[in-house]
Amino acid sequence: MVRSRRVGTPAVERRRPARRLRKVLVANRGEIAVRVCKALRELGIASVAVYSEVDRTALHVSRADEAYPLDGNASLDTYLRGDKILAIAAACGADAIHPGYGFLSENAAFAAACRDAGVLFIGPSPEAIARMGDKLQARETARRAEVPLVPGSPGPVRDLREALAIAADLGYPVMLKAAAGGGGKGMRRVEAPAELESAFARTTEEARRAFANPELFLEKYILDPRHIEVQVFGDQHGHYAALGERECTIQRRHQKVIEEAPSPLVTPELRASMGKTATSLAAAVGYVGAGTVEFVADQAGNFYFLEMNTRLQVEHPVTELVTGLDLVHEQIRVAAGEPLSFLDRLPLEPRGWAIECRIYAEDPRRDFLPAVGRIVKLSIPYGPGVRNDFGIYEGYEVPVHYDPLLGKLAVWGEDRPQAIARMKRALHDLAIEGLRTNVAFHAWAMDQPAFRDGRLDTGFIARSFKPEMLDPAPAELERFVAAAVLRAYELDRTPRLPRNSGASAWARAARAGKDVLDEDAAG
Amino acid sequence: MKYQVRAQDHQFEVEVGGEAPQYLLRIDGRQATVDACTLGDRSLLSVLLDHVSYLAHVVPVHAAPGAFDVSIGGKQVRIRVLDELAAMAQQMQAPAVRGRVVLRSPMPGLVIDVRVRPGDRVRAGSPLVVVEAMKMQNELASEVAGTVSEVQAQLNQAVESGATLVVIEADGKAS
Repeated sequence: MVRSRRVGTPAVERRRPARRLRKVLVANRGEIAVRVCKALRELGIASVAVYSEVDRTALHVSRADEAYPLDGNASLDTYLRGDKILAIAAACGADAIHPGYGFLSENAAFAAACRDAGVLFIGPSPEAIARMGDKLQARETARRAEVPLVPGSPGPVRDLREALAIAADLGYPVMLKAAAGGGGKGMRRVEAPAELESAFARTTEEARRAFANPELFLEKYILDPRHIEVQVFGDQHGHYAALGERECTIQRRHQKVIEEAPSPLVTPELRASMGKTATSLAAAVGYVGAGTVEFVADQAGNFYFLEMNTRLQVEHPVTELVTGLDLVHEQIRVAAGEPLSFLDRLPLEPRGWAIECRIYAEDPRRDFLPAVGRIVKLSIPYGPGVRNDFGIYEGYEVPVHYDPLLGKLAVWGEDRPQAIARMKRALHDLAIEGLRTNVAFHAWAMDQPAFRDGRLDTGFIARSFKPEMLDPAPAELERFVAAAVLRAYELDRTPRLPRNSGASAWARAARAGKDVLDEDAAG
Repeated sequence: MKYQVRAQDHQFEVEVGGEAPQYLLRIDGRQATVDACTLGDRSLLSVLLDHVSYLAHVVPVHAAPGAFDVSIGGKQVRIRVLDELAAMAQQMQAPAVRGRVVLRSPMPGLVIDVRVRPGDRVRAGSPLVVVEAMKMQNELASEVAGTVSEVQAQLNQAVESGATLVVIEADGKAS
């Protein structure tokens, strides 16, 4: 293992020759850990999984070449414990750590600890993470790079009184955001001064618990906003590139639900302008690896910097589908010191259209509350233009401790209408039984005229969706009734039938079970 | 066999005859031919209802005899199937006590805040308890106006889905 320690903290990574990676530790779980393991196997690099106690049976453990336990279950005791993970990396001889998204992926101290330990962190430098990961520093960096900004508080808000004063200046609605937040966590929209006190207290508490930093700041809320982000990449040779945009406007409680690439709003001119802005920001921090510059856009196409995510995004597959690039391969190559592989293809124009639906364990009928349980039946769609990134299997018990994302269903089509039709088909073919999911919600969304026309804003779900919209229509209800009655009928008949009486195969199968009802209940 | 079936707010009278895979169904007098078979697992049914093909996942609800959770195309509906005897028995049961409204945890999680004490007056929408699950804080509010009669939720307590958190005597409807 190469052990090197740098003196000082250079803002721009020095150029260095490409090194050969033999073993990479994946410091994550769920679908993204599975995704990274796939890329490593394709590149001929050994993969190392880490897992919490309850995750011994998680898919990423069996997909990796090696796996090491992390004591405990809570994220704070396991996937957020950089010290434990670095100790495992040293013990198993990993050359590098891929952090996935969430957990340690945007933790500058962890990236620095990797550097100190001589383990390559597959991501940008600790300095770049620190500058972009902290929203206040990011805004300042963006302002200096002449990236347009949403009006907001100049720094962290000290207390409620200051928050009330700043919010009054900005005009309601305003947005409260955790300075260290990301991925939609630790954010709240506040409509009126009366709501600010409770929102301030709860967001502070969430920020403290989730990010160990209670600092908040305030921003003006853009009405009918769209959320459009640009995928950027930098290498260690001073190249910066934009890989086009993703529209992530369909959100619920600031959590992305449906993403697509390209954006129905973005013209080639706007794409060029957003790409130029995003790469200039990446260049300003000497960015290396995959990053995403998030913008909030109004319906006229004015866009403002929101934040930069210094990691791979959940929704990276839609960019992969329209560019033909593998972003995880690219991350690993760039981290090893190779130049960007697609420099001769710039500027990248999207080919066709891609849509991704995030499949969550949650109940759309009950305010999307997280659901847990055992997956008793799983049928994953395939066929032309369909891609799946899942971290589950039939029989898997979804634990309560982590994010409820089960996986992502993505499709590619020649154009947007074909992509939507394909997504509808894929959702029809997707069956996850045993716990509540948002699959039917996605099917509903694909049918909405506003979605089909690309008339999107982040309030779409809150405004348009009512739980009863997922109720079967009266004509459709007969199908449910018929299925339940047939099952009841077979159960009623079973005990009365003599052995080998020519009873149905179904009844015989039921009788062969020790206790039909108990076994079913276990499922 | 004759069944009384309740699905959402609808009531159906269903008559079934036949044997797998061929059945005859009469739903509210309308006759339908059904071809149904299980696919590898007896909870997974391929149904041809008058030749219309669909897949249904049907699971008996352990806690509620005669109830089945049926899911088709990602939509799930709880169906109560009562034979004639059970339907009669249920009609004779006394109606539930009114006025007592129980707040149950809608998911497994951790109680991180309890906002009320016994005797507190609450309005519809008043926050009662905050339960954290999967990194989200969920504020659970009262659905009715009334008086808190019982608080079972305890701070930092892990609760199962369906656990009783708070009981409220609702105004106006007390028996």
